[in-house]
Amino acid sequence: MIFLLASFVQAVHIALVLAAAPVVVGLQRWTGARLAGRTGPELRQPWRDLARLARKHPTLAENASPLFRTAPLACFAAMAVAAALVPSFTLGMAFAPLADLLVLAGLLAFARAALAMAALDAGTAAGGLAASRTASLACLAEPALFLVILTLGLLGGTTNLDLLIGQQHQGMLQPPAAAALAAASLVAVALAGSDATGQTSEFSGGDLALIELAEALRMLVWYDLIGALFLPLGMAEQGAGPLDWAVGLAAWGVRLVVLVAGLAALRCATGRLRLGRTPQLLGIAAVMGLLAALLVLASAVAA
Amino acid sequence: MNDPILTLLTAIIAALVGLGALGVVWPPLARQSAGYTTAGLAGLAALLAMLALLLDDSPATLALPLGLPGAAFRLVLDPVAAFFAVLTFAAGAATSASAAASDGRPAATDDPAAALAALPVCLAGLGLAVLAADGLARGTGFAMAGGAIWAMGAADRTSAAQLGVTLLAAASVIVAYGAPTTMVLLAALLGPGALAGLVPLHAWRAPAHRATAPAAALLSGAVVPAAIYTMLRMLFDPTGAAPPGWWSLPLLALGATSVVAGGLAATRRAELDTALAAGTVRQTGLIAIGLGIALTARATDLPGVAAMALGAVLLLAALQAVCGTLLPLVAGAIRQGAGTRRLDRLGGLVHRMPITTACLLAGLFGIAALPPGAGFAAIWLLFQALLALPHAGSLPFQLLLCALTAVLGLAAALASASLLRLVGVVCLGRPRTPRAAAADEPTRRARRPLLALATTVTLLGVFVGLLLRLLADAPIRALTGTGLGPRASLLGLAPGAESPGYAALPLASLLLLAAGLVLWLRRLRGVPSHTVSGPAWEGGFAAPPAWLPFGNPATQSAGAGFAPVLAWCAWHPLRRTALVRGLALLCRTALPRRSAPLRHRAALPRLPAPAVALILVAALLALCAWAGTT
Repeated sequence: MIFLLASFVQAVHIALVLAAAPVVVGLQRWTGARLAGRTGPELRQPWRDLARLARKHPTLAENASPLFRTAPLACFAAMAVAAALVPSFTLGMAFAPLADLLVLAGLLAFARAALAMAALDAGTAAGGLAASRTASLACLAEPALFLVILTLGLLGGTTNLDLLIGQQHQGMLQPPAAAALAAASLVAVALAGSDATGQTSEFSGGDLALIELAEALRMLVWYDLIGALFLPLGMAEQGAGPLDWAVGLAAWGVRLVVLVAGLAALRCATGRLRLGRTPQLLGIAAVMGLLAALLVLASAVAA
Repeated sequence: MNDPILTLLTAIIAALVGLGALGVVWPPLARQSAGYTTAGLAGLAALLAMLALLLDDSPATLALPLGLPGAAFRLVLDPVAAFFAVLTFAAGAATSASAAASDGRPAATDDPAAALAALPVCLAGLGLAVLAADGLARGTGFAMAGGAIWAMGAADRTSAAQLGVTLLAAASVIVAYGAPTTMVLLAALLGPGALAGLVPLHAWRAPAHRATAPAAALLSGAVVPAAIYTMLRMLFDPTGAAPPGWWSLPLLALGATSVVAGGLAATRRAELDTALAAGTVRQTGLIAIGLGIALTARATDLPGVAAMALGAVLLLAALQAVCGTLLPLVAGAIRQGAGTRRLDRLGGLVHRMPITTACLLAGLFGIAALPPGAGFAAIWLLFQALLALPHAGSLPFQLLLCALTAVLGLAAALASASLLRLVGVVCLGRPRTPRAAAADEPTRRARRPLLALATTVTLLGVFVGLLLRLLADAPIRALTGTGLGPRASLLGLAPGAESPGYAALPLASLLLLAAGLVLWLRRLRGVPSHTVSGPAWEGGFAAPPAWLPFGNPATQSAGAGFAPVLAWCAWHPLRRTALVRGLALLCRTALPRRSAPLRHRAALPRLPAPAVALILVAALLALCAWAGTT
């Protein structure tokens, strides 16, 4: 019975996440436009774009290899699995035992690598540049991410996302300063990763739709990850009933709106991140991650 | 049951030596059939060793009627030796099969006949080194293997360096046998450590990999596991008591430096072979980190953590045996098929050599830390072992562990960068030369060993838990007294009993399921599967003129910029040393960059205020914590 319930919740979660990802992108664009004083597109616009693209058949570059058609699939599959693993409105979903933080980092890297591979396949200047930039930025982002995972692992004694969120929900991830620093570091990593695009210029039709959906899922994974790890208010516990789920759903919506608005405001205030500044941001993320781990270790020694 | 297996293995080693001697006496014999015989014998030896591993019987010993007077060679077959014998012989079998299959093809650089005569001797030497119970036999084995590999390649200065390092390893193994303990550590780092490619004696690997493909495959696929095994024996065996805790420090430091140096070099080198050699250095560094963690855990009496770290070490060794053999062989096939090893002369091979491309992709994916590859499982195990360790040791040591975590992250990113760079530049995109555009796939027989190795590495990634449970549990129990137990199962790996971990098999199934669903939906909605083809969108630039049939070569990435540039160490006199590179990368990661025009002038970096504040806070915190401990 418990397993059936967990599977049901998991299915609902996957459907919700797939449906919500383009809407979140729409919300992001709309908020950004409003803050810049423009009207902004409708929230449903990304969904319309996806539907339009999915109806077309793709045009390939002349020297595209079979890998070029596989890459969008691989990228989407990795992001869909990652999105299925990060809890949205409730804990204790069927895939919860799979939701390891390192696995999530690995899935993000997998999707990134698949896309960069396809960008190199066309043999264009822009694709090659974008691929090498992605790989080079990852060399700075991954150490920061690993340090944050170390911090969370030290705080909670596990790297499983579900268990960590459960502990945070009960206020057991102490000291909070370390968690806050880790969260800030994650935000920086997410911000730095969000600009490394420019690899999709060769895609079209259904392939482009898949990649855009994967990109939307990636943003949603970051929002969900940061939101659930550090602000799990209202999230339903394992074995909760429909009422708790409703509360969790509402809390998830509020959390998403707050995070999207916060990030949009941050972007509006700082302007678009210049490419040259991204390593700097990642360096700061790494230092914050190190500081968070230090805080945990020092407080453990002092206790 | 181990006694007859050991006798049979000894007989196989003797037969291999005899085969090599026959090939030297009568060169026509050193042809294809001899190569396949070698492959068959080595494959049989690997199967026998695997049988011994699965039966998990009491260790067997055997005294040979060879050696110095009063000190006959002794052999031993216990689970650890059996595990590494499987790796060494399997790697040797694949190399022999590949060398035999490529015999008779016109090749400018390779000399298959020399390889086929020396191969059995090399495998016999490595087998002796792995099964030896005393230093003399092991040293003799390494010397035999080194000499045979030297005879395989062109006898120039670079292979002399390889021979020198092998003989150094042989000598240090002989000297360290029965020596005082600190001497053993030094000998392990300078002898087998150097042979495996550990910094600071790693520079010989890149030129040695430019020798023939079988020699390079043996050097990274068969020699590295044997060297790792020797290190394991030297560091874990000598007294039975736990070695002092500080022993792990040089291992961790050298391992981390190797990871950074090798990883960065793999994203820089201009040739396929040397970039792969740098990848070997990176993997060896990871193995050294695993050994260091296991030593620390053993010194502080954390057998579970030691078991996890050793699981990572054994997994990485197995990965090195498979990918370390596969990748140089693929590089050799590309060199033969496309006529060059330079990245800026290759490109677009996926159209002419699809199977070779798939093998290169599988091998590099295996060592890249991407799920569901085996390399990810190894990094995951190392991370979990590191995570469980801070409860042991003082704060400075814990700081070191934090730094190691960052190094693991860097290793993962550098491995992915190397995958992207090598596959992307060599196999994808447009061909850069007419020769690359006319590349040839190897023959069907030569492709078989490559495909077998590529399948093995893929299965190793998906069934990592099952394979570790079956094959690595007994060796780990023999080394630490505690096996992996419930930490490895069919589903995957876990940091402890009853706790969720990395479920490799379900994750791989989910990925396949998601991709399959998309394909099914596409078919269901009747989206036409045919595609239209057109010129690539060059960002608005015009098509290249007729005298550039392969497009403008300058507009296609030739593999630069796949890792961050270390600007401030570019002019430094010590810039070539790996330590400086590692430090520079750490600094570069941690500190915001200075403004561009001043970069090469200023003697000391001027740090922006936030970085200074952050560093001060970190230092203060560390100081407080230090005061708290004392």
